[in-house]
Amino acid sequence: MDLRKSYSYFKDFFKELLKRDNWEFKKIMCIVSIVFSSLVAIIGFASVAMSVYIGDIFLRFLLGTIAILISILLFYSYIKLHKKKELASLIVFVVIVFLLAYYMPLFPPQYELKAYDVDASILKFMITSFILIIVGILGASFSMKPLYNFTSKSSQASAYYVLTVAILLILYPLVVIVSSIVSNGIGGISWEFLTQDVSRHGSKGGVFPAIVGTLLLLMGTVFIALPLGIGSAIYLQEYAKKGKIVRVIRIGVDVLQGIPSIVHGLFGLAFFVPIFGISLLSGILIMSFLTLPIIIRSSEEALKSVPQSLREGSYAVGATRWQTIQRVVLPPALPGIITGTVLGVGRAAGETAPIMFTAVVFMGAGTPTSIFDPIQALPYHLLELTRYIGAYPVDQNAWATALLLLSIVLGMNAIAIIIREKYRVEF
Amino acid sequence: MTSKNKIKMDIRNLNLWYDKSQALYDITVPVLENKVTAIIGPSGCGKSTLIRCLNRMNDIINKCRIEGSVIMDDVDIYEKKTDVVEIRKKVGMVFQKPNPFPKSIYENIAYGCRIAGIRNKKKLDEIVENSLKEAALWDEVSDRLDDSAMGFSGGQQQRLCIARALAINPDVVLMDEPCSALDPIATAKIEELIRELVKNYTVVIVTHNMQQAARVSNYTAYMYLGKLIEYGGTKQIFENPKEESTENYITGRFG
Ligand SMILES: Nc1ncnc2c1ncn2[C@@H]1O[C@H](COP(=O)(O)OP(=O)(O)OP(=O)(O)O)[C@@H](O)[C@H]1O
Ligand SMILES: [Mg+2]
Repeated sequence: MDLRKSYSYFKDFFKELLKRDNWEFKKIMCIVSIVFSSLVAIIGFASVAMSVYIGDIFLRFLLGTIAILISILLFYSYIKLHKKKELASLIVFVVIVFLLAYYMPLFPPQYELKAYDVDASILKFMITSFILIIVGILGASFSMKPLYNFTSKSSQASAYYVLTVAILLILYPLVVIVSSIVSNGIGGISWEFLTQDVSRHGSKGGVFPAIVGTLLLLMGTVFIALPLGIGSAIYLQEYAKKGKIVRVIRIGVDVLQGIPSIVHGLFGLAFFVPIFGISLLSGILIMSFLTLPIIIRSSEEALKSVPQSLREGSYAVGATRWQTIQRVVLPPALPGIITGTVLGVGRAAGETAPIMFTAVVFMGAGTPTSIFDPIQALPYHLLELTRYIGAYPVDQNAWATALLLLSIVLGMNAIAIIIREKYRVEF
Repeated sequence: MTSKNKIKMDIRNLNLWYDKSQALYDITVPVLENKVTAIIGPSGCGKSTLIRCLNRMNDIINKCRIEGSVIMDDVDIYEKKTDVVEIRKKVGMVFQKPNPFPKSIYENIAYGCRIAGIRNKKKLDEIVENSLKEAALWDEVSDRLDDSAMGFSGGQQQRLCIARALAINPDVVLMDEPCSALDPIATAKIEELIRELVKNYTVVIVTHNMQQAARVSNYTAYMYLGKLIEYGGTKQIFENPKEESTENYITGRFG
């Protein structure tokens, strides 16, 4: 066959393909480009997630090829098919991709498959993976633009894509943590585990006193922190003139919230333990300090969300300030306040540091008979169990305790969400 | 003004400052009993500020300072010994945006009475029914008294707020642009209502709508930049204003 003839034949064929309104071709180009880019991102992500270095020569060739392919595809879909104003962003992108393609093989393949060790190679390995993730996501999101003809829908689509990926990235560790705790812990949950006392350094028996201790601790905390928190929030939002003192108090609340929990624990050791001993009461007081800022903050937000016009409506029929707060402001704010409280207490449920010096013992506390007795608590129990790992066969119970603790904390969060959704007041 | 027109509230030399900026300058104007007094003027001239002085609503605003007096039934409502709660029971208020409480229709109206210490269920039922009838809302909601007020239309909510103001049996009803969030039909209903109300109540209304002022009010006060420019019978203000500024505003040349 005549070489020239076949050449001009192909030329015509491609010309036809690249016509401005060749929708089918454009679509295929874009989809292929999206898929490839996503693949790049997935490989990058997988390498982070499974701590596998992707400097392997084969992978590098693969990635280089993919990168070049993407650039070519994009090049065509942008330049041939669409407006010039997108040219700038395209060129930047192509440059990045080409850089990547050349950059990949530059890495000497000296980091092999090994788990995270603290050395410089980790950094390089991470950089490579993250660049892959970013380039992949950007590539896919750019490729969506021609697919939607550069209308406003196209930026919508690419933004949607990037956000979805971001959410998935965030969800990933959550899924890994929860699933591993559930799968390892579920076998250890039994009637015996839930109802019996600790024995043999936690390798036998259960966590009943720890459950009781944690629940008592939380109840006591709510009992003290809730009224104090609501009271402070009402004072700050409804009574105090917006002056310097209020500002100072607010900053104080924020600082209190920022105090590391171990400092709370040491504070308790210094101030409460000498008076109340290592006891439920000391623990409750410390936990109240810990949760108070959260309760105050969320209560303030809840009060703030009640529109000023409702207060005015109440004053206008002759209500006093307190009547207004009691009957008009608090009822619609209550779901928000309770949600905040449950979240705050949920946080307290998982804390170890504040109680480890002030309220808990590992074994032998049983169920306390007075607030001056020491207690056992789930997070501290877990801490002690992990210390015995290796020395005693405690693994099963440790996982089960973790699962229990996680269920309590997640359960409280779920309750908070349900309250918020169910009793939300629309104004 | 004829002699049978009794002055219900007498605003005398009222000056008001928000922090350091003065919003009202030496306002002196009467509010006549069983009449509708309209306050008109361009945006930001202090209409809301003035009407809120009549039930001391400005008390709840930080750094708001007031000088001068408002005499109601021979008592200066700004005197130290007057109880602001008592004033507000006598001077009801309806706001620009309907602001029903997120409670049932019944509770919205009974609220003021409960605050005032009325516990008798029968009495409350009676007051709720009467107020709703007065506010021309009874027919629409009589079978839904326990429904949340938030589920009603804007016009219905506004009439509910009027009913809520009437439930405590005030002498004066203040209305700050009560129709600005409503459609023409709901507006017509409320205007009709105002004409009814004035038989038993003294009404002060702020409005941006010239026709509305002309339709419902007996007396009109025109304000500009915190000052009272002109006050008189509505007919006179609209047909024969003394001040140029008033005429310009009414004929729509500015504001
Ligand atoms: N809470 C406040 N704090 C400070 N300044 C205020 C406050 N309320 C009103 N002002 C000022 O006082 C002046 C008069 O306001 P006002 O609300 O009484 O005007 P208005 O005549 O009701 O206007 P509109 O027709 O837009 O409702 C305005 O300059 C306004 O900025
Ligand atoms: Mg106003």
